[in-house]
Amino acid sequence: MLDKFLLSLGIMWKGMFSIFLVIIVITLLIMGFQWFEKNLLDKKDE
Amino acid sequence: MNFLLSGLTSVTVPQLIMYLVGFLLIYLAIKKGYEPSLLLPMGFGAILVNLPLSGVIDQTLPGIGNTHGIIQWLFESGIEASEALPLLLFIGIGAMIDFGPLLSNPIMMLFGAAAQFGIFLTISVAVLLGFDLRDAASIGIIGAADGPTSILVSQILKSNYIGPIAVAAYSYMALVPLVQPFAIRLVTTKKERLIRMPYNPVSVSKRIRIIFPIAVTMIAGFVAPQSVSLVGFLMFGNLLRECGVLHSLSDAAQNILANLVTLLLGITVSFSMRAEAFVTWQTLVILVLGLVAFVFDTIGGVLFAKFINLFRKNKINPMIGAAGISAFPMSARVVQKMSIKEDPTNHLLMHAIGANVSGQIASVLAGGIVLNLLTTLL
Repeated sequence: MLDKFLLSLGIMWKGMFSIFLVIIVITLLIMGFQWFEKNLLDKKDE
Repeated sequence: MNFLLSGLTSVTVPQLIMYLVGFLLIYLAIKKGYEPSLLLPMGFGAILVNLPLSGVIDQTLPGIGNTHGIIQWLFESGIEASEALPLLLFIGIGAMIDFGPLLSNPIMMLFGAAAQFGIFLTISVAVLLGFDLRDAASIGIIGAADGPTSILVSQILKSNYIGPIAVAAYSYMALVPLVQPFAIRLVTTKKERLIRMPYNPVSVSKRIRIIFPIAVTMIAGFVAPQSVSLVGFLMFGNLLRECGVLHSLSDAAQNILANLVTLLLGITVSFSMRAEAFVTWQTLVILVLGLVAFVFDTIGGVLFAKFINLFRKNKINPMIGAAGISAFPMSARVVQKMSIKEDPTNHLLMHAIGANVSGQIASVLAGGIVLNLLTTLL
């Protein structure tokens, strides 16, 4: 029982860490692309 | 005349209980309007599969031998063998979602991640209550607030409790307007609920709308390959919507495909609501654990918003964190309703919708990550 519980705690921190990692990478990518679009692509179009 | 009464006389008490469960689900669907597209087929299916010697499931009849039943066949081919039905539904869901509010305010993405906390907490609680790790993980996924994800994960993990998990997932999604305000009030003060957030939308180009589903699929796939079927089908549906050249396919995915699969999914899942599998004390425990998952998802999102506020000049209304669960759009509506109840001029809907669609991504991601971790750890 204790082994399984410790395993589930491992799943908890690894799971939350992975979700945050993916979400933060996606967020940064979107923000980066929006910055790139606003500062480079749009100005080039103008 | 005995042959006419043989069905009636062979009804068991657990089957009678399942008829009541079926009637209850149909009542909730019709009278209360709780997720009727799923609870009604599930309720009717619960009655159908629990009729003695029901022809919708495989039977061995004296003098005839084995007969095949349509619901068992649908379950075995559409869910058990391929997980096709829940996955196909994701194409429709992806085609329905407008990620615009999220893309114009990407910081809202984080709340989707935080509001998956209930999943992992519930896994630990289920383990403490004596459930096997596979079953515990399947029960925890009820907190994804996403019926197809719950069905898919519990099926892949070969959980013994797919029926109760599906019922809990869809029931609590319908009960979000009751569950979330309670959980939000538990961890916020009136002053916090009154925080105003100006909405300054940034225009989102078509280019970003197209890149977004492709990028999300690739990033999720690299980190959690098991999530690719879930995230990939969701994002494929969204790409159909946003590409601008496949209007008829996008319409078909949003309407025909989603409706057809929803119709079949509800009645197919009822196969796992046979009395012998459903009428157990574990079902009641699973229903309680589902509630725990929803409450702690909400609390996780709200507390994360409060944590972020420690570092921000422009404070975020912590209720926005609660909208990070996947129940779309109910959760965003709950936050909006609560905010205007506190202050009729404080409109948080667009922020909440941003967090809510992020929850859609994060919940399927959580499903894939749980599968990934279990296959690595077991």
